[in-house]
This record gives sequence, C-alpha cells and structure tokens, in this order.
Amino acid sequence: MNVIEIKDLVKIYSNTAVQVTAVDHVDLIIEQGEFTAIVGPSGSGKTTLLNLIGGLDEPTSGTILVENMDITKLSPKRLIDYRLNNIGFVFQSYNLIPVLTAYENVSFIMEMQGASKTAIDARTREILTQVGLGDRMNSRPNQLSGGQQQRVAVARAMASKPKFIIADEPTANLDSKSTAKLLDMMEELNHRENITFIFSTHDQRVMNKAHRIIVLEDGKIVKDDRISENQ
Amino acid sequence: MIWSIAWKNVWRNRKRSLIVIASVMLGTTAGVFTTGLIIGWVDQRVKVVIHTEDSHLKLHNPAYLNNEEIGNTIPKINEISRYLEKKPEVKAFSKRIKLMAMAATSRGNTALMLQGIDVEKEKQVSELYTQIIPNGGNFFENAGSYPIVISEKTAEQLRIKSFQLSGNQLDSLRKAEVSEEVIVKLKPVLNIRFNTKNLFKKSVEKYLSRKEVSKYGPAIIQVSEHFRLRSKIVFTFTDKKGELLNQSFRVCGIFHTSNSMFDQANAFVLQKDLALLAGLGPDEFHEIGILLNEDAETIPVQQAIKKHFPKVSVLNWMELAPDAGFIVKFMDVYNYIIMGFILFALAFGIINTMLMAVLERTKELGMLMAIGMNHKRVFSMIMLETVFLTMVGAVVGMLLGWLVIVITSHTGLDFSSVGEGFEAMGWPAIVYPRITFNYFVGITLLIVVTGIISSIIPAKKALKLNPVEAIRTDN
Amino acid sequence: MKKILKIAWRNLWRNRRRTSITAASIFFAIFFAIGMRSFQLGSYDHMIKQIIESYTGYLQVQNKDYLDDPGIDNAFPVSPELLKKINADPNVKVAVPRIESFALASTGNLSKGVMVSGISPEQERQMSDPAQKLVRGRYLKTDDREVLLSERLSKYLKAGVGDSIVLMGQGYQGASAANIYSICGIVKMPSPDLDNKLVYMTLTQAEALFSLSGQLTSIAINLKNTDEMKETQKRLSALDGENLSVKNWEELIPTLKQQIQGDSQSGLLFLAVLYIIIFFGVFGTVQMMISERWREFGMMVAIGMKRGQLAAIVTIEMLFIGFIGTVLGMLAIAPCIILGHYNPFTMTGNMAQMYIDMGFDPVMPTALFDSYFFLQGVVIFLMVILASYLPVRSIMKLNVTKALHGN
Repeated sequence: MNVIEIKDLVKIYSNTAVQVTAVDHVDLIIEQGEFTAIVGPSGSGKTTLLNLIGGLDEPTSGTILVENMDITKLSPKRLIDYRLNNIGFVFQSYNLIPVLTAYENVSFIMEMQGASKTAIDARTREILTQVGLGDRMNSRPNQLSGGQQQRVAVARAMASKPKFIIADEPTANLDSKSTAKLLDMMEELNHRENITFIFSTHDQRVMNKAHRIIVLEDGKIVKDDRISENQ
Repeated sequence: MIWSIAWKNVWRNRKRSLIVIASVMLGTTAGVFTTGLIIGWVDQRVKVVIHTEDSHLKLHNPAYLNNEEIGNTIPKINEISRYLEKKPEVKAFSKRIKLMAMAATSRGNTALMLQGIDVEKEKQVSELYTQIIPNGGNFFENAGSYPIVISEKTAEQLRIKSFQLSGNQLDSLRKAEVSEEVIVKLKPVLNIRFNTKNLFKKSVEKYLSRKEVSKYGPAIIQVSEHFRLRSKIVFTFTDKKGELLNQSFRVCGIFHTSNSMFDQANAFVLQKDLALLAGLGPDEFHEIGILLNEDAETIPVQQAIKKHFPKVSVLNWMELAPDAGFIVKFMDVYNYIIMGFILFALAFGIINTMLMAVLERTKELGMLMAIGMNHKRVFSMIMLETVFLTMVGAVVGMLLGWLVIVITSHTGLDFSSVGEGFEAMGWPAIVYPRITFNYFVGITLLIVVTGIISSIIPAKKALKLNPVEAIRTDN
Repeated sequence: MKKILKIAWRNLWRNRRRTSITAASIFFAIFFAIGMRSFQLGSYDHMIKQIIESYTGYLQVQNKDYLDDPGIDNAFPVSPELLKKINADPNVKVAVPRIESFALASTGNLSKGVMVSGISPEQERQMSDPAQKLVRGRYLKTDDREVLLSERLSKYLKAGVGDSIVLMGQGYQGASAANIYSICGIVKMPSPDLDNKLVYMTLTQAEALFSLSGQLTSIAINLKNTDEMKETQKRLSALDGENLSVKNWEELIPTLKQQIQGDSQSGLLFLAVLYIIIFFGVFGTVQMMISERWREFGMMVAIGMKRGQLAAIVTIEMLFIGFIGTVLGMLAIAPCIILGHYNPFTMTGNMAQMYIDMGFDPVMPTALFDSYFFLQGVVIFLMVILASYLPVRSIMKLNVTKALHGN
C-alpha cells in the first residue's frame, strides 16, 4: 500500500532579488514499511522535500497524497492537527521539552491526542522499554546522553503509531557508538511495527542502514536505489 | 500537562523570574496594605458618624433644614414616637431640641449649637457619653442646676481649661515616673496658670531639654491640666418669641471626639432646661436621631418612615455626612483603581520577561508546533506561564500584606504628626486597618487578568513563528 | 566617545520590542507621576490662594501671645510708623490693619457664630479686595456704620441688603459688645469656609464694638515673592521683637498645612511604590540585555575591546531608553497640564458637594511647569543608573573563555 504519493511537486522560494527552485517537479511513491534515506549535498532540496512531506511547508504546486488524502489541500490549522495524529518527527536537536522527564515527553504527545490515561501509561512504558530506556523514564533530558535523548525522541515519535516518521539528520550530533545504537533500534522498530521511516541525511552510516536511497540534486531526483534487506 | 509545563517553565531562568516575582510581591503588598488602610479609616469614620454624630437616620421638619428657626419643630411627634417604638429595626431613638447660642465666660466666647437631650435616651443612641475625657467630669450624672456638657475644644476657647502645675501635684508627677531632676527644673513654672496648652508647653520647654520634653512632656501636661468644672458659662440666644435671653449653665462634663468640627460646634444640655428657656412645649422637638439594630438595612427603614410620614424629612447618615457617604460608595472602586495602577506598572516588566522567554525558546516552540501542538495550546502554554509567574509574587505579596494588616489592626497606626489635619476634617488620627476576603478574591482576579493581558504580546510572537525556520539547523 | 554613542544607539533597535516596552514603562511612570503631582500641587496652590492670599495673608503681625491665646485681649497698639516700615519692605506687596473677633450675629429668630473683620476699606482693596467680590449692594466707605456680609451667611440668616443684624460678643477686658448694624452689601468669598461666616466692617466701627481704642488684632501681609516668605518673616520680626511677633500662614493655620502635608506625602509614597516597580522592570531589562549578549561581549573582548567600553555602551543604551521614555512622557503630559491650568477640571454632583462641605473649592487645577516637573527626569536618570549598576559591573568581570563557551 502506498503511504505517500507525490505528484509533480514544486517548491519555489522567492525573495527580493532571487528565485530558488528548491524542489523541481518531483514524483515519488513511498510504501508502507520503508526505511528510506533521502540524500544529497547542501542546497539539494532534501530538507525542503522532507518538510513538504511532513506537512511543515506548503508546495508551490503539485500534490502530496498520504493514504490517498491530499495534505496540500489542508489549511495550516488542520495541518497541525494532521501532523499531531499522523506523522512522527525526529529532529537533529531540540527534540525534547527540557522541563519534562523522558516519560512525560513521550506521554505528552498522546495526551494532546486525547488518549485515555491508562492507555497512555501502558504505551509510554512499552515504547520506552523498547528503545532501551525503561530504567531512565524519570530522567530529564539534561540527565541523558545525546544518544539517549534521540532515543526518547524516537519513542515519542513512535508512541502514537503514526503513518510515517520523518527524521531530519537525527544522527548529526552523535558519536559513532550512539549512532549505531540508534540506527539499530530504529531498524528494529521499523521491522517490528512496520512503521515507515524517511530520513534526510549526510551520514554514510545512515545510508548504509537504509533500504532505499533517494539522491537529490538541484531539486530533482537523480537516483533512486532499493537495496535488499539482507545487506 | 500544559499546566505542568507552564509551571515548570517559570523556573527555567530563576534569576530573571525572581526579579519579576520580587516586583509583583512588592506591588501587591503595597496595594493590599493601602486597601486595608483605607477600609480601616472609613470604618472608623463611619462608626463615629453613626454612633456619635448622626446616628443612622435623622428626622426633621423640612422647613428646619432650610431655616433653623426655633419654630420649625417636627409635626406629629407623638405619632412618630409610637411608630418608631413599634418598629423592630429601630434600636433606640432620641428627640432633641436645638438652639444656636452665643457662649461667653469672662475670658472667652464662641457660638455653639445647644442640643437639649433626654439623657437616658441619648445614651442609647449616641456613644458620646463614653468620650468624656479623663478628669473631665461626667455625662449628667450628678447634674445640679442647668448643667452643660461641652467639648475640650470649646473648653479651651472659653478658657475653662487651664494649665497649672502646683506644688502639691509634684507627687503625681513622681508617680508618673518623672525624674527628680526634671521636677527640680520645673520649679520656675510652678503655680503659674497658663490659659492654653501652647503657652504652657512653651514655658516648660524653656527649662527642659528636647529629650526630656518628648519623654516627660505628655505626663506633665496631663497632670497640670485643669478643667474648672462647675465653671459658669453665660449663654445668649433668642427664644420662640424672638426675645433675647441670657442664661448661665455650669459645666458638668467635657468630651473629645475625633471630629474637631463636630466638637467645636456642639454642646449638650438637659431637654427640660432648654425647653423652658426657649419657650417650647413638651411636644416640640427639632430633631429625632435614630439608631438601628446591627443587622438592619438603613435605606429600607428610611423609605418606610418617609412613606408613613411624607411631611417629615428623613435623612440617612450618608446624606448627613456627605464626605463619609461619598467615600463609602466609592471606596471599592478607589481601592481597585489603586491596585489596577500598580498592576499596570508591573505589566511592563512581566511582558518583557515573557518576551525574552519566548525568544530564547524559538527552537523548542518550533519543534512543538511541528509535532502537532496547535495555536490554542501554544497560546495557553504561554498564557499559563505568564499567569503563574505573576501569581507567585502576588500570593506572597497578598500574604505579606495581610500579615501587616493583622499586626497593625491590633496596634493601630498612628498618624498623629498629621493628626490634627485629619481631625480637622473629621477623620480619626489613629487607624486600624482591615480587609475582607472579598478584596483578596477581587485582587486575585485582577492579577490573573493582568497575567492574561500581559501574555498577549509574547504569545503572538510565539504564534508567528514558522516551525520550518524555527527548527532549521545551523549546518 | 562618539563611536560609543553610535553603537549604543544602534544597539537599542536590535530588539525593538524590548526597547519600546521598557521605554513605555518609563513613559507611563513619568506621565502619571508628573500628572499626579501637577494636580496635587495645583490644588494646594489653589487652596492657599483662596484662603491665604484672599484673606489671611502670608504673614501676620500680631501680639506675641495672640497665636497661643487668640482673643481680643491680646490686641496690640497700632502705630502708623510701624505700618510704614512694613510697607517699605522690598518683598511686601501690601500690609493692612485688622481687628478680628468672634461674635454672634442674630436677625430676630436666627443666629450664627460669625467672624467680624474690621478693616480699612481703602487699604483692604489691595489685600482681600472685598469690593471685587461684591455681588449685591455697595462696598464700605471709610466712615460707614454699615456692614458687609458674606453670601452664604446672608442666605442662612435670611438677611440681605438693607436688613439689620445684631452683633453680640465680648470686648476688650471683658467689656460687653453688642450693637445693631445695617447691611450695605453682600460679598462672595471664594473659600466656602469663609463664605459661611464673614462680616466686614470699618476699623472705627470694630473699635467701637469691641472697646478697642487705637489697637489692632493683626496686620495681614501679602508678599510679592512667596518663595521668600521665611526671610521676609525674619526681617519684619526685627522691627519690634519685644512686643510683637510675625507669623507665617503655616503657623497661623497649621491644620491647612497638615492637610496639605498629609495629602502630599501619601501621594509621594504612592509614587515611590510606582517608581520602585518600574525600577525592577528596568533592572530586569538590563539583566536580559546583558545575558543575551554575553557571548557577543566575550568575542568583542577577545578581539580587543575594553570591558570598560562595553560597560559604558550598555549603560548609555539604558540611559537612552530612559531619555526617550522621559521626553515622550513629558511631551505627552505637558498639554494636559496647560489645559488643566487655564481650564481647570471642575467637579460636579456629590463630589463637589463634599468638597464644599469641607470648605474647599470644587476645582482641580494643575500646577504649571516648575521644579517638580524636571525632578521626575532626574529621578528616572538616577533610577536607571542604579538599576544598571550591578549588571554592568558584572561586565567588568567577564571571563572571555567562559563567555565564548556560552556560559
């Protein structure tokens, strides 16, 4: 089943003097359960593309269908709700609310979605244990390492079983050991819960883990390789 | 959870928050205390107005209010008396004869409104009889013939009060703990009579040091104060027929209220004496003063009496003492305006602080909006943080203010240094602050509103953030 | 120096909102403080003018004992030389002789305590000028036997021009004083308190009534420059220090002074609270400004800027903010002050009645520009300096490496 269907997507930034075409007529289909990396040099448009897929930005033209619903037609207000209930995010940094514990950071998003207290508690504990932080649930972000913080971020993104998760350079600030750990964990979650992961990255290690690599250059897809899972 | 986040966010930058909290605390304490002070003042003024000066209601012949002629007595007096006796809300009432007269002694003169009263009834209505000064006689207890009760101010004006330190009073001075060496220093002023307190003070100050004056002064003055009770005052007035009459009265008691204007103008005599002199019959009165029961409402009673006796003027204490009436009406508004001003001044600091808080959290806010926190929640989060920040200082401030009020309500606050100015306008110089729970509720509401309004600018700034730009990394 | 000023000025606009809000808080403080003081001082001036200038006089020459023991017995003999000497003083605008005493006025059925004021009709014109306050009838002539009544008094007694009143009182050394007078005019005194009880007659008539020959109870004096009241008082006291004393209005009517003082002090206290609150706000702003730019400061010191210069820049920035708020506040309140002075706010209804009952005129004029106006600017200046002191001092202790590491 196609989770995401992108048709003829265009995003042009124009300020006073210059016009920049960040995304140039892109067509793309992403299926359920993919573990896909979008790569390319700075300025290639990968961040913009990811922002568009994640509903954070509006395209100049084209459509983005998520499970056959065109999210480009949603008003900014409806988009916020849509993101809340359907998309998970992991950013490079500043993922967590510093005044909340790991547990609270994860449960917070489910509270916003309106789930019941017992359901929230059960799922929070479950997901934090899955990412290996079952014993650090009451720690605040400043008491966790960088890698641990990112794992909490993943747990939060996963907690409400979104349609897909957008991860924008999640490993950029981590050392190699933490990176490996994080990627392993994400791969396992992808495998177990069949949640689609879409990365934007520079990091070779991420690319090594990805099952599909999409290369962008000047806003266009120039390469789209699927790599077999057993590699 | 947003409540929890907002509360925790207040403490993220402790130093900055403490500055706002300190200022809110100060402002709130000042506002609460000022309110308590004003309420206490008004309390006392109203108490004096009702229990000493005007009672709850006063009845007159309407013509009398226009023209204080002796002939303008209250019509249907007996009917009215019967009505008032039966009325459950009325605690007591006193019928009075009033006559303007010129008072003269061999050394001074002044004009006074003589009030001819029924002593027992008057005591039920007015607390004046409790305000006889020490060594100032009594309120018609052992009357004699033609007794009169005058104020301390009147006594001074008529030179009935004098100051003299005689040799056989030195023991009283010693009892009052005045030191021997001071007593010796006072030798030159012994046995000399001074007509006014100021003259006496000046002479004493010549021989004593400043310290001694402030320490022993009051005791010396009290011991030397003489009221020549039973001294004679000659009154000149016109009777009902328009004839000029003289009559001397003997001073029976001397009173002091906190209202100098009242004191200067009024004196009290026995009804039977005044009626006889003025040529008035047993049913002719100029005024009825009515005291109501504690829980009775004044206006309904006033209207009831008016209805029953349309030809009689019925005035309540707010109309009789318009300064008190006015301030009672507007006291609430006044207090809230003061608090409002203070909160307005505080708002600037609160807004600036919250703005800073938002600006340093742009990435975090961008993240929150990206993962799905809608505008309403973001606004609530910031609004709650602002309100919490404000409330912390406010709660401490209210507690502090309340504490100060509780303490000063027992000891009283002394404004004697400007006291005479206050008493000249009729207001007491010692205040016992008081505050009601309602005010705290009102103040809390105002503070919450201030917090909410102050949060608008920072919240707008937060909402304008574009998540894409906010979370953009620097690489 | 110029460069520092330029940098400081430009820095202000880096965070436009914060600068504006801080300046606005100072604007509010100045606007309100000057406005309130202006109303207060204007009211006091007005009260003083009404009561003091238009009757009592800024100074009075009296018998030494008169103030403590006011009464006809403490009169003093009049000498034309004394009057001449007083009038010759450079600061004396006018000095008039007076006999004042208390009496009971009676018209058949009604009586009231009044203040009898024996005056020299011609001289008094330059002092309280009853002629100008005449609303009915005619003014007094030097050899008149008639009297003038104040308006509210005449209403109370129901006595108008042409009617007679009896005045009864006590004369010199116990002599009885009583006579009947015809009313030739009604005057309206600006102070409601005086308007309730004043009876003007000629000095000659007052002498006759109170059995005072060749004596006065006071000489009332108005001054050219009221700021020099106390010096003038000292000078005049020297003229006859033995028997006479010169009192100023604060000693003559201490209750008025106390009322003014009480009101003024409570106003100042409220302003103090307000200023302290604004102080906290300014303090907070400086703190935020510095902590926000700590890294930047670290960098500037690293490349060679002196800490002292940085401190100066920040201080000047705050002073600029104070200056903007102050100037704007002053400009905003100035027209209100001018309007309030020449077209004062007049009270109505119950509030007006309350003022009248207390003896005050129900208007609220403002005071024009005076030291109090600019004093507020000085207060703000000092407050900004004080608020900036501690935070700015921390700049002097800036540690470059720590700052660059985002401490």
